[in-house]
Amino acid sequence: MSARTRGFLVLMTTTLVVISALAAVFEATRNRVESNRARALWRHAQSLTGVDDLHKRGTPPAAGSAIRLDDGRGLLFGSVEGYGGPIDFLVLLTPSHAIAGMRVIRHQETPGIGDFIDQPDSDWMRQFIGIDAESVHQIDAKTGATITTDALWRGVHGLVKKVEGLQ
Amino acid sequence: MNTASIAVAGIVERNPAWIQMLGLCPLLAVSSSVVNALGLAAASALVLIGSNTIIALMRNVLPHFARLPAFMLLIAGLTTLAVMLMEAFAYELYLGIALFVQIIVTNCIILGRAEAFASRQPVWPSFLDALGTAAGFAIALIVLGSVREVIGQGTLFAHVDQLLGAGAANLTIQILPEHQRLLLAALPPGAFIVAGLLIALARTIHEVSARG
Repeated sequence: MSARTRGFLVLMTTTLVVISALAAVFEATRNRVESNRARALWRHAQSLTGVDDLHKRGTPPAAGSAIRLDDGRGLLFGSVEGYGGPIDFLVLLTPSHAIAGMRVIRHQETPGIGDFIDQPDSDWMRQFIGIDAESVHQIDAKTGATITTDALWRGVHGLVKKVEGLQ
Repeated sequence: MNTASIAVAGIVERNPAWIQMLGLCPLLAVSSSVVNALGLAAASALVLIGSNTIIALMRNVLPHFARLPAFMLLIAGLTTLAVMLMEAFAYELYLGIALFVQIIVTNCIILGRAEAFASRQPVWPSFLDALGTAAGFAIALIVLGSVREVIGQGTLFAHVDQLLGAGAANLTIQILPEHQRLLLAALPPGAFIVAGLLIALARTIHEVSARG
């Protein structure tokens, strides 16, 4: 067998073995990962809303949907494509549809550049509070993280519009 | 070179971080606390030991030209595996440091050991070489993480429950009183300053012991 054929065969075998191993681990850990995500999501939702029995609602709703809290506020579940992958976030709306709070739950933005979005108490993130969905685009972009900030504007605006359209 | 000295060399003489100055990006980024440092050290060890052992097993059937693609395939696969395991079993830690665990793929310590050692040596020495190098990197991470956490937050093992489960939450030690901490050490510039001082210390010890 020539070195060329052998190299080809070894690379193909390695690829197959690596892919099979990853697929097996993915399947084996799928349920665990999903329950981890659900638990983390409800924890964020509870700290955002101050309502502490939200986790009793079971599996969190899919992105693009919302739940109405007992006091009339709406909790919206969103996901938008950022720079490094999906950004999952929550938006809390007052009964008059102003943004009362917003929280990024999961993202893969660049560390040190786009990851400021996971700090809900930062000055930048607090700009979302009190405005309505139409004013979201007036929030300043962050230098170096244009795609990340643009994704959040689009995500929050699109999510609020979509949920309002469902009513 | 006998087998024990292969592992020891990775820890002392060519410590990947303090002597070879490799892998400094994740080292500086993740060492803000001991728990983060331990998480990255464990993930790096898994990838390094896995890749060195498998590459040593493959070395006789792998033609020279297919070497780098095969190494990268294995290292990327093992890194993804480490991230998946972390997402399943240490989710809080995953949320904090997964971005840095993912870039283990590009860590030159790992490709360096694959190319310089595992591709020319039998399995057992390659395993020991990876074990020593992983231990050397882990020690560098943990020392830097400890110093930065004590100075920056006044604690040791804060959030250890992220790594070992809820039962370990009370292992956290408060070393400095709450108001006597120097936040700089926990921030990125602090990483450079503390790492610089530790490298100077490691080099001094190295020189003094070489002089006899």
